[in-house]
Amino acid sequence: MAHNRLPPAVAEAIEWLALHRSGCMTDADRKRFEHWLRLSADHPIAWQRLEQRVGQAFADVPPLAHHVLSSPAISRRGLLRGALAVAGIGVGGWWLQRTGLLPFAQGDLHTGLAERHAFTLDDGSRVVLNAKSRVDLAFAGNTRTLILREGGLSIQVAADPQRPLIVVTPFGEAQALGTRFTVTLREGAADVWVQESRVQVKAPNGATVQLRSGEGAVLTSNAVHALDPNRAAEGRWEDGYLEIHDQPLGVVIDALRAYRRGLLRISPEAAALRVSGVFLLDDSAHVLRTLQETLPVRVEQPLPLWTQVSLR
Amino acid sequence: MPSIPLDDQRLALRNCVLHQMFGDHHDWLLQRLRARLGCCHDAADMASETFAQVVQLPDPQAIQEPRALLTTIAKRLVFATWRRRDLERAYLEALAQQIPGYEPSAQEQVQAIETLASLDRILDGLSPLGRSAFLYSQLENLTYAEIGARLGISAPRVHQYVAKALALCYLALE
Repeated sequence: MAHNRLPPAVAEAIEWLALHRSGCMTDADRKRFEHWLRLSADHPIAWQRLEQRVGQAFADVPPLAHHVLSSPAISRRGLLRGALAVAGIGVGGWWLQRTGLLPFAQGDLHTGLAERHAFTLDDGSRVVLNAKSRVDLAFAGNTRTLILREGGLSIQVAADPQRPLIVVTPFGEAQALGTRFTVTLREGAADVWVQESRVQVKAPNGATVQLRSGEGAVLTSNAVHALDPNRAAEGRWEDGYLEIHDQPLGVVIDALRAYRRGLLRISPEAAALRVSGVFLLDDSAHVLRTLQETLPVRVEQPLPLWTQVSLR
Repeated sequence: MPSIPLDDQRLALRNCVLHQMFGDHHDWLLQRLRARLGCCHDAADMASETFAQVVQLPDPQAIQEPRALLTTIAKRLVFATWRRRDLERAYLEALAQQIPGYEPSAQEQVQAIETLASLDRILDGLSPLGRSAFLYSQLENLTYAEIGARLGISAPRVHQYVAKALALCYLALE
């Protein structure tokens, strides 16, 4: 406990200061406090020093301090650090993964910020993960299941009539009927695009739709809707290009987030602007510059970790 | 033939030890960090910073378990970096939710984050609830009864939190 390291006079001064701030200090308390101050030469010194240090610590408190400092988001890792100190190094990694703070578990497929990666699975299927993506594999005797936890994947399925391959998302699943297709998680939905052959998609409510080459569907928890075939190129991010035909700018910004550190925000007005073009995912700074030159938007970076796009 | 001064000998030995340590363990550390961070740039930064801290140790020859030491230092760095990012993010999110009238300049924002990071370090060890209780007292001068009512805890509990926070402030500025 921190108190144990304090000189007795300081520990007492702290109790007095805490009482002063309580809002229920009585006259009798005040008399006792004045008595305490005179009791030893150490007491007034400790009292002054305490007030001075607390004042110093909070001299230039910015607005929002209360909100930020007591935010559970920043304390989570502090608690974790305490736990790790006890648990030791070996257990640390496991524990972090269990709490979801580390992006990946061993044996799964994963990519980090701004990193696309191709994997070959045991059955010969080839998976490319988009940036900031995570997939758990569950290959059993007669099924091949990929669980998309985060981000997006593109898969070239190795044909195996005995073992169907299924990509599972929180918003439904896509079953390959020998084929190449992509699945991308978004907020509250998953997009599926088929590049070759056919895929059967199924929403959690049981609704199924068969998609052919060039077709796409969006899965939500209670429905399957067809996507506009003109947008099929959106499913082909595998080579690092995002091709957009007459879509809201928000779609481009959403795709860039997995490639850019920090917050990338866009105002609703700017997000609604229509845009067409081919964008290089690996160079988000260039994309943002291009957008600024060709659209009535302003891209600002008030801090290294914060990019804001708004209408000019 | 003049003998090499002891200090030079020690320095040479030290460099040799550090050199060997780097050669033996850098790739291993980088790999571990990559697996944990999922980002190769972060991992490379952290690995370099870890060795930079080892170089500053007074007596690297005495290190018995280099990998345990490297892991400990790297882990501390990773946490510090994450925490800093979380704090920046929390500040920016809070800022984004603010009424439109309040728009600090970039300079003010950087200063605000610096100050918040130092307060965050000072209050390390206090739970979000404890921090909130103390900050209501420190920044808004609420009584413990008022704070308790807001946070759903008793006034004596608020008193304990405030006392603990005051102790942390005192110790931090020693």
